[in-house]
Amino acid sequence: MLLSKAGVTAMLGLATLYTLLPLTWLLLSSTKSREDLFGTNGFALGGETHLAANLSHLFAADGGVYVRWLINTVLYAGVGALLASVFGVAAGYAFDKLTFPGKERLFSLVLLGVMVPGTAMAIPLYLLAAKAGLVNTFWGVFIPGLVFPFGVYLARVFSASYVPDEVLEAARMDGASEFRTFCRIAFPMIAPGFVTIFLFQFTQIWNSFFLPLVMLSDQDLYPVNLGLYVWYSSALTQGHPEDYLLAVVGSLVAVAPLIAVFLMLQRFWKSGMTAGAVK
Amino acid sequence: MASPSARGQRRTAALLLTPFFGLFAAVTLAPLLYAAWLSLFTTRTSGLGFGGTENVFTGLGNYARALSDEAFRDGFLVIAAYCAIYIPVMIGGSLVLALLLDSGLAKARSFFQLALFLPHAVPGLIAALIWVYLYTPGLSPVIDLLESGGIGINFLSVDNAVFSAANIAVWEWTGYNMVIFYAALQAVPRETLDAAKVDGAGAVRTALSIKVPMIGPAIALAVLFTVIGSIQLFTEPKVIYNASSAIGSSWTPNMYVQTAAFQNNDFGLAAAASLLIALFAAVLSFAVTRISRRGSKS
Amino acid sequence: MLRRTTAALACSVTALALLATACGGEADQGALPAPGKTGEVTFWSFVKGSDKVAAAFNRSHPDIKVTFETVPSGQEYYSKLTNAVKAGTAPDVAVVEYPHLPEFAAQGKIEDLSGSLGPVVKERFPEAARQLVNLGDRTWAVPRDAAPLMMMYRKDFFTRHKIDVPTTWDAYRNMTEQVKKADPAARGGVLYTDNPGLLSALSWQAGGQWFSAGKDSWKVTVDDAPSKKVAAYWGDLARKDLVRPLSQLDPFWTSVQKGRTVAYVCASWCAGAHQATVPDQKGKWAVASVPTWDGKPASAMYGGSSFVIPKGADNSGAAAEFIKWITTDPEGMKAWVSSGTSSMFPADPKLVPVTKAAFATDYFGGQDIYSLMSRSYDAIRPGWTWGPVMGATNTAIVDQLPKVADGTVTLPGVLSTAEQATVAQMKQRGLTVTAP
Repeated sequence: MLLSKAGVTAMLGLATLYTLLPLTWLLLSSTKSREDLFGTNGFALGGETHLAANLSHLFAADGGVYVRWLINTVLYAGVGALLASVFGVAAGYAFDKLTFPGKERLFSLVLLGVMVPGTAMAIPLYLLAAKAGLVNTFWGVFIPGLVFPFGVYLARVFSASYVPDEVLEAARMDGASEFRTFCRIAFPMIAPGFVTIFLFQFTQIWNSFFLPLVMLSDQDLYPVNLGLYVWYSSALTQGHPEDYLLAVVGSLVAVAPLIAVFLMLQRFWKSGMTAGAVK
Repeated sequence: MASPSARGQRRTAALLLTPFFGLFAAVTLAPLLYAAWLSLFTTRTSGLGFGGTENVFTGLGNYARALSDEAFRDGFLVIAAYCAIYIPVMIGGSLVLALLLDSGLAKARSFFQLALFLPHAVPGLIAALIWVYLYTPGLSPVIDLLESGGIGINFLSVDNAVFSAANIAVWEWTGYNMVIFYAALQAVPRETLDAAKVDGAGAVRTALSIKVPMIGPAIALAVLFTVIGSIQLFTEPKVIYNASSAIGSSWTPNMYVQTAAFQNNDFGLAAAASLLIALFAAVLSFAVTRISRRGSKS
Repeated sequence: MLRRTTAALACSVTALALLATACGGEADQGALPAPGKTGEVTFWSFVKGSDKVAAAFNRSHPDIKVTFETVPSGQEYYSKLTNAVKAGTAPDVAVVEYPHLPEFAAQGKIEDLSGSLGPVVKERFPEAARQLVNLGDRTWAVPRDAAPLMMMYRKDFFTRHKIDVPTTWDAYRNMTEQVKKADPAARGGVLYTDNPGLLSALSWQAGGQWFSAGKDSWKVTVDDAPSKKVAAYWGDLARKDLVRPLSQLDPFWTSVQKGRTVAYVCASWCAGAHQATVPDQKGKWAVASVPTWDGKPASAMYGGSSFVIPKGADNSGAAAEFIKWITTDPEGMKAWVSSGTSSMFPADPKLVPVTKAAFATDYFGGQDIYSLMSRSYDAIRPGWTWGPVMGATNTAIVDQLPKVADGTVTLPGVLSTAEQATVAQMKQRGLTVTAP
């Protein structure tokens, strides 16, 4: 029977194999010496384990700049996504539950933001930021991360499905102000959605490349993604292959915070699914 | 006169919308308008070019150039082929996975959620490294394995590029959409499901006839954004391009934009082409919304 | 919550204010020239040793403070630099590889250095390097390194299978056949699928001339007869599976590490890169002169970089001082190679002893590779100029290269396509092109 516990778990396991197998390349490569990296099968262990040596190189390279990149990334992506999600949920809620003039027209503006290819906007954004004196500053990368139009769209949908209108009616009858209702009643109900939006924006900022590339030139301001690219791009063409290995190990380490964030956030989804746990 | 409650709603709406729209205006709308302005100009020089460049107004010249460029137009055909493979597989896959997770039958749900989502968390550079490795003949253990089974396949050939790009995208995005669907499934009132159970509906029937329709809006939304995302297809084919440039630097419309902007510094053309892509996405998403609305009405 | 929203409000008001100022007007691009030779200099580079060279300069020049900023290499960097000039945020000194130099000059993105550094270039560098930085009777950059061609080969493999080191391209073809016969998995050469640099270098070596800048117009002949000859030769080797089409990055190095590539044409800098990337093959490799068509010495450059002062630099006086030091001063050159792992060949011949002393050649069995490079440098063919839309030219070539091996296109055909794409892009930019 396909729909037994074992069957379902097996199907999920198969899908997991597909998602995780390519990642074992990253894991195994991070443990290899440079010779083994190019000399051995990507899905086999190398001759000897170099993980500890690779890690210590990673954290010592260029005066320990990698840690700096990690901290920057946590600020860009963590704080940025948190604020972006708050703004996004607030706006999405307003679009769903409140009546105000010009609502749908404003909403189509949000959609416009989703439809424009983001990478192409990096250059005009850069040229504007240059005029505002934000180039090569923390804010030049941080502020653009605060805007997540897709999050507004998602928040509107979440608000519609998580927050029943009757609850709001009741709160209004009780004389609660609209703002209070949002903060005290609606926001907690959207919490799982909030977490989802946060996660999406977090990964998006974490992976953004073109904007930091044009915006930053001070290595101390780089996010991890750009820093790794700097190592990688010149490793094999400029003849410092040790940087290639740094880029590989650095990526493995960079995935770790994302896993941590994901695990922390999973709790919120679980709280939202307590009812579903009943079998 | 507006009622006090309506006024309160308006005031609160303003309060809730201002942070988003203030920033949105600064980092999305302003660059967009600026890009629209720049799309009306082209950079010109003369002679050997050492005298420097000047911006020349060309009206809609850049739009005409993009539209009359076969490379740009062909990109949309590639997108169409890509969508035909990618959307059913990815959306179907993530829906099935979400339903399996939600069925209450799966063990180690937290683990599976994480494992399925993980590809989305891998830095793009590394995802590229991995797939270049897996797709390159002579390096890839997968190709060796297939060959020993008598299957010769070149993932990097022009003919297979659509498939190969779609595969990378499926790998990256299935978990992402599964999370959306799973979150939506959590919001399905449990009473409805319990009622179905009492009526004797099996797990599959409950999934298909109750759960899927209940999260219909979420699915429609995911399809919509997948279509929009596909029109902007860039990262995945770029990976294939890095491994084998057989597909060309302007294979998709967004790659065309990148080539114009980052290689030829032809920003006018890049801006015009991006706005055309956005326009195309808007028209298409309008169509998708209409279709899905009609679907939900019937 | 309220406090957060208030903060957010304040934040967005600020953002709007910024926006308002941002739309205020065009940035002032022609920043004031500062002829003084003191002050701060920002320096963008991806070249190995740049950090050391900046630090060494700061130690010996207390009046000037150079701030070095690492940038990625590749097309993204050039785009970044172009946009920085456009936005008025360019550094004072930036590295530009020779092939990209005319494009920067032809877009008016770099300063004319004829007055400041022109005499230095004239005095210190031979024609082979000068021709790459002088365009239209003006000097646009100062060369750092030359990258004369040479050939790397597995000495152990050649000895074991009694294969002679080829000195002509005919002999090279025989060599690739012998290699494949000796070991079906091994190849005696590579056709890079993602880098047209070697193909253009070999065209240059054969006497090709892709571009030339006349008095007021460019001449484009990417598919001239020597280049077509070279293309036909390599296309044929690839189609017969005598050389392997590979990406020059991981796939190429994997093939070297696994003993599947036993010879390849490269340039001076490759020796250092090679020993760093495959350290465990120490003693197995040797360096030879690049084969030629007629057996007489002939060479070209594959790689190499120069330094420019971007338009809008704040401190061009001190920048010129810095550039002069890092390209022509023995101490500067010493700093470049202080890691001891670079086999860089300086464009200024007087500095060769400096780099030679820094690079230990025990990996290559103590071979005197610098005198080999010097001979190659002297044999570089005069008359080569890179083109003004090199990004487009290169992309047009790279877009077709992988199709050469399977016979969908021919390599000479690739050159013709690239020429058309180049001319079209040049006309688009308003450059004057005379018909070949």
